[in-house]
Amino acid sequence: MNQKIISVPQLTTLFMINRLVISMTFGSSSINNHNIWDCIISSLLVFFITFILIIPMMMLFKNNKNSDNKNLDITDINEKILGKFGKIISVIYAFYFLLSCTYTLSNFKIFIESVINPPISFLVLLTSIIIFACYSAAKGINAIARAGAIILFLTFFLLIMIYVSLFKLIDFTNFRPFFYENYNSVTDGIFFMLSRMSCIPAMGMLLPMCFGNIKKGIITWNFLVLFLMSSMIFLVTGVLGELSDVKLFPIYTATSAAKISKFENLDSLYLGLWTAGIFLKLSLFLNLSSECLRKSFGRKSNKIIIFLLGIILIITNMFVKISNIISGIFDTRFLFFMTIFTAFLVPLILLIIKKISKFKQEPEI
Amino acid sequence: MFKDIRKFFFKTEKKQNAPKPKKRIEESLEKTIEFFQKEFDGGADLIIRKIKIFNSNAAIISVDGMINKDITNDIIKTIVNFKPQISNPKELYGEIRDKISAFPDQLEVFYYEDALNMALIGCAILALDGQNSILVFGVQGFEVRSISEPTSEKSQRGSREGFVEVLRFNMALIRRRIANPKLKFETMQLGSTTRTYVSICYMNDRVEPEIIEEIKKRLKKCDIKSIMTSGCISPYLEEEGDLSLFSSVGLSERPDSVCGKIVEGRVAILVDGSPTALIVPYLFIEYFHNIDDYAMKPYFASLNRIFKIIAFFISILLPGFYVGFATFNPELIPSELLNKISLATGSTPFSLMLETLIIHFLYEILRESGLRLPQNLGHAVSIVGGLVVGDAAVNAGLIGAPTIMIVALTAISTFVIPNLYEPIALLRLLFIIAGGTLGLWGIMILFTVVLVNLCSKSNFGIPFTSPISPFGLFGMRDSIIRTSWKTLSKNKNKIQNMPGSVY
Repeated sequence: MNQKIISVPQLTTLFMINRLVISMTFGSSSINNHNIWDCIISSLLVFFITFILIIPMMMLFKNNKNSDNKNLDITDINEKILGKFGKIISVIYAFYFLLSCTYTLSNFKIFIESVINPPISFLVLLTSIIIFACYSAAKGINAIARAGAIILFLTFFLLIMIYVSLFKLIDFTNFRPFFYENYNSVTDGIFFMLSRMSCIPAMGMLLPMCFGNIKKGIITWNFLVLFLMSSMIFLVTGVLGELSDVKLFPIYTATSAAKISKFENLDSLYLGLWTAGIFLKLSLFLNLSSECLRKSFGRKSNKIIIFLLGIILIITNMFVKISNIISGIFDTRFLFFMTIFTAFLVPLILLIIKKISKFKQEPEI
Repeated sequence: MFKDIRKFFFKTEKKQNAPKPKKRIEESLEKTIEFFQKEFDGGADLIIRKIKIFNSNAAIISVDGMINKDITNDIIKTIVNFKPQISNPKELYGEIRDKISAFPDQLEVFYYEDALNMALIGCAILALDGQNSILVFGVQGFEVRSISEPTSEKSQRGSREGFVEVLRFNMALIRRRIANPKLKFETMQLGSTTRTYVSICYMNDRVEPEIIEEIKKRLKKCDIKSIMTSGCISPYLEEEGDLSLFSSVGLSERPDSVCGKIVEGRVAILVDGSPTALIVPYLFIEYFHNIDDYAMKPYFASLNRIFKIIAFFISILLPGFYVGFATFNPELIPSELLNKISLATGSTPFSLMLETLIIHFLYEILRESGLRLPQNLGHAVSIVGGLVVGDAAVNAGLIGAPTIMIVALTAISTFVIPNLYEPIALLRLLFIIAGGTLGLWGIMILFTVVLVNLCSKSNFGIPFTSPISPFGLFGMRDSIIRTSWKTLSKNKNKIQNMPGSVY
């Protein structure tokens, strides 16, 4: 049962940060070395698919209150409708949020190890970021949302600066016709973007805490995501041309060309804010994961769970390369399945069961 | 022994000391004198002057140095020379109370404890034999510092008055500015040993009753024995378990500034013996406000506030960024500047992080020594420390000149917001360590942690970071910027209306 503690703009902020973190690592390696430019079409299609994916979740939370008039989140609904089996589903949600954190951190690791010079000890960075993320997660959703708003403002401010400085570097001959090679880049782009759509499962936990016009907030968020992704792809292709297809992190490469007066390499500042975004995403998902587990195991406080999850995160990120089993779990296809399962299938099944039981309960006339 | 072991392992509930029952004043004057002598236990400052009034024994009891002797002598003279038209000596007390000593600050008390308290705050006590009550005269006359401009909160166009150490004077300074019966003072005694008077000051019609109740509840929890300054009770006004570096209890030595806050629905807490008023609830953005902001044109006040905010970020982040960029991200620094930095720091024996930490450590020592010394000596320390030691260290090649410059710039920026000095000093060091070990990444992680910490704070149901986050356009009219008086004077200009508030 939840109290309404965050506003719709704060929810949109949290989701935007989540998306910004993902967009930074978008590159040719994410779409099997295909043409990035075609991914503008992918982002447009994902925009529409997202609306479809959200429908069961939104319908599930329509007028979902318990007898005390308190709002139920996905774990409460799971338990209410599926009984003890619902607790297992809640644990799966907790696992998914943790999985999403691990994906973010593994991308972060690749980035640090391949791009940053002079090298920084990733173990120290990883440990410190997770410890502090645990602290933030323990501070609660409200604190994360408030901090997120400030970070997002700074990020947008910097993005505008980067966009303005990159705009003059665009070479329009770099743009090729859409589907110049084949359609694979579009499908791969959709696959990449949807597999990282962790915001929809997060809605299962956050929507009941939210006050305001949720529909308006989600539409705004989806539009902003579309704008962000397509503008980034447009700039990257325009500035880098075919180079964008071979670079591991083309968005980072493009931002490194940005400069204002004597201050060059604005990418470093962007990376700083990206780190802040990762930090907030980890905090949010650690909090959500711990909340799912707390409710499943009937504990009062989630602080111990958060720190246990933090330890798990450190260990999994340290051994992700060593163990084949762990590497298999962190395969993108698995993440895609998990995202669709938690974002669409579970809410849909719950909705169907709810409707059927309601239909059965209605007396015959 | 078992009791001790049990105490160690198990939390025992704190015994609630039930208040001692008050002792009724007895008719015998000797008993009254005996009570005071026993309580003061031979204390040199207790003055008991026995007198005779119309054949009755009486005594004037007071504490040396706390009363105005001239006024007291006048009262004694009048009472001694009094020739009442009475048949019964028992009527004498009533005659004195109602006829001669119709003194504005006069009180009749019936319990020894009340009489003792009054004597301790500088009242003169008249005890009459055969009477089971005592007359108390407010003749306080102790030496006080005169009202002067507070040195830590100077103003260009504001009033030149500042709070003093005497609670009553401070209450009068507020009352003089808010001539409204809705202004209310509630006084209580805190500190089991010092029994310091604390006054809660607010406007009845502008503050939420829940806030007042919560303040009283928190103050009653204050279990320290001696309250010497307002800083002693400040932690009790914070949220329970709040370990933040930043305080959500505001401080001010200016009555005009405190009155402004009271009118906005805040509560001021005045402590006897302290010239600093505490203000709750307090927002983070208010650290950047100044009384002059409201006397200047809005555009200039807004510009001032923006400069202060920039100065705050410079003071906490600049040394960290300097160390982090020069060590891990030199590409961010313009090449000409980078060349100069590398030339200056290349030959020094310490790493850039250590160098910056050493300079900061030296700066803090110099500041502390200059602060406590007499003013002339303080200047000498600054000159020796800043110019001689600094210059010699650079010439000797121990420290790079850019590092000195960075630390100096940081120090100057800190003085723009003196109320935030404590968190800034610590955060600055932490950012230097974060920048020196993890570069920009470390700085950003620490920055976000501090941000989350700030955003998680809320006092009396009002978020500390309001109206920035949670954002509210209405609240922004007097936050980072200041709008005109026409906009400011509109309704709802109350702290409870800030975005994110529970009220």
